[in-house]
Amino acid sequence: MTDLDRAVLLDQLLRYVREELEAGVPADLITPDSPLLEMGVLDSVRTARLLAHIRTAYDVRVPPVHMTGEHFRTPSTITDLILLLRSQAASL
Amino acid sequence: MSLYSLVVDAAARTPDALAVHDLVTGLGYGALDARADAYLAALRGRGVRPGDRVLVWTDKTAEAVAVAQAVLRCGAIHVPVARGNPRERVARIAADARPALIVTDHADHVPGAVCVPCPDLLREADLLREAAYGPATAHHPVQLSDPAYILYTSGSTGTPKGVCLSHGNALAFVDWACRELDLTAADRLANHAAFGFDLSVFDLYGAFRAGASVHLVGETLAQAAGPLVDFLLERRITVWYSVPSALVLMAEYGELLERGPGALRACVFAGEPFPLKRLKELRGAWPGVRMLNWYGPTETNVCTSYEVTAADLARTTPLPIGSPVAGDTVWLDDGEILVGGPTVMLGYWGGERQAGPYRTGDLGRYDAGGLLEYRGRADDMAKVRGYRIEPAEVAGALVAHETVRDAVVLVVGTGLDARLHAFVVPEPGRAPELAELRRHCAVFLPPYMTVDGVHVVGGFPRTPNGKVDRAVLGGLVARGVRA
Repeated sequence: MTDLDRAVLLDQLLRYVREELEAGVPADLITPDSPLLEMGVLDSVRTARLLAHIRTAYDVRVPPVHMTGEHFRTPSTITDLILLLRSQAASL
Repeated sequence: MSLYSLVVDAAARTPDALAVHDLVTGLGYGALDARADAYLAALRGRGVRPGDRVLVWTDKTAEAVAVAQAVLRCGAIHVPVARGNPRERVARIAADARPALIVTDHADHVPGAVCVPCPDLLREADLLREAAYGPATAHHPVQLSDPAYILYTSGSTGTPKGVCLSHGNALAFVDWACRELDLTAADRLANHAAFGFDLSVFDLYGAFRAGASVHLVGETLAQAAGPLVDFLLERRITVWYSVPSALVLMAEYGELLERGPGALRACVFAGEPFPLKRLKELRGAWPGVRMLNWYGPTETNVCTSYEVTAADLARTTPLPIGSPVAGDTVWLDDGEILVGGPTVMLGYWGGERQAGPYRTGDLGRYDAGGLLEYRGRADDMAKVRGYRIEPAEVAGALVAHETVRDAVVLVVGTGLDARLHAFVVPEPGRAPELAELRRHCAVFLPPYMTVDGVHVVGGFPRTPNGKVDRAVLGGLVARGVRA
C-alpha cells in the first residue's frame, strides 16, 4: 500500500462528495470543514454510498467503532479517518 | 416496583454480567448500579428533587444510561434528547420541560440553562463520597403512577411536544414484551433507536428486566448499512428492534440477508409499515428467526403485535399490526384507532392529564381474519424512514427564515425514497434557495427533518373549503416542478 498524501486524498474526497454523491447542495458549499451530518448530506443512503466508495477507492472498511459523528463530521475528519485506518491496516 | 428497580435487582443477582455496552465501553450490572448511585449523589448535590426534570443531551453511551438510572432513582423525570439535535431545538424542548439541569457529554450548551457534563458530575460525586455518602444515595420510593420520562416528538404547532409516561406505563409494556420474546439473561439486545424514541424503552428496560445486555448503536452508526451488519454479527445480537427502514437499508446496502442472521433469534420492527416484498425476502432468507410487527405511537407504547409466519410468504394484502397486547384495549371509532389501558401515557407535558382512551390519529381496519391493519393518517403527520415528523414543525422553521413568507411541507415517496419537499411563498423581492434553507433548517431541526427539495410558488392551491390542497402539491413534485 503506497502512502497517500493527505491533501490529495482530501481533494479526491471533496470531488467525490461534490460531483458523485448527489448531495442536494451546490458544490461550492462543500468545503473541507462543511458539517456533512448537520447539513443532512450524509443521510443513510448517501452514507452507504460513501462507505462503498471508500472501500473501493482506498481499500478501507470502516469498522462499527469508527462510525461516529466525530469521524464523519466533515470531509476533513473523514480524510483523517481513512488515513488512520490505512495506517492501521499497513501495520498489521 | 419501579422502572429503576430493574437494574438494582439485576445488580443484586448478577453483578458481573454485562448490562450495557456502547461502541467503546461496557458496564456490568454491578458497575452500572454503582455508577448510577454516584450520579444520584451528584444530582442531589445539585439540588435535583423528586418531580424535577433532568434533560440528558448526550451521545448514546453507557454513561448516559447510568445518568438516566440516577434521574429515576432521584424520583425525577428523565428527558432524553439525542446529541444530533441542534442547540436551538434543545432550547425549545428545555423551554417546555423546564429542567432543573441539563446533563451533556460535550461542550455545547443551552443559554440560560444549567448545563453540566457527565465528568463534572462524577467529580462532584467523589467529593460527596468523602463527606456524607450513605443517605445521599437512598433511592426515592416512587409510585407506579409517577412520571418516569418525557419523550419529545415533532409537534403540529411547530414546537416539539413532550409525551409523559409513568413507571407503570413503561413496565406494563416491558413486562409483556419480555414474556412475548422469552428474554433471558443470555440475550444480547441491540439498541438502534435514539434514546429519545420510544423504541429504546424496550431495548434498555427489556434487557435490564431480563438481566440481559444491551448494545448501543450510536447515531452515526445507526445510519451506516455495512457497519451495522458488522455490529449485529460481531456483538452476536440475539434480539434486534428497529424501524423497518433500518432493516431495508441493511439489506440493500449491507448484504444483511446474505451475511446474517448470526446469533439473531428475534427481529422486531415498528414505527412504519414494512414494505411487503422486502419483508418476504427477509422472512424467506431467515426462516428460523422470529419476526414481529409492533404498533403503537409514542403516546401508547406498543399496543398491538403481529407475528410473521411462513404463511405470510404468500401474503398479498398489507402486513397486519395484529391484536392488542400488554393489557391494552384497541378499537376503531369511525376508522380511527383508539387505545386504552395500562401503557397509555399520563399526558402531554404541561397539558391536561390523559383521560380515557388515546385517539391515535391513525386510521385502521380489520382484515378478514379480524386482525388490525394500519391504513395511514387522519392528519398531516408523516413518517420519513421511521422518524415521526409534523410538517408544520418544519414549515414553522422555514417561515422563520427572512426570505420565506409562507411554507407548506409534505413527504413525497415511501420507505428509503421518502423525501421532504417544501413549497415556499417568498417575501417580496426575495428568492429562497435550497442550500440556504437547508443550512437554516440545520440550526433549528434535527437532520432527519431537513428539507430535500424547495419549490418557490406564488401561492398554494386550495381545496373547495379553503385548506391547502396537499394532493395537488404532491402532484407537482411528481411532475418534476423545480425551484
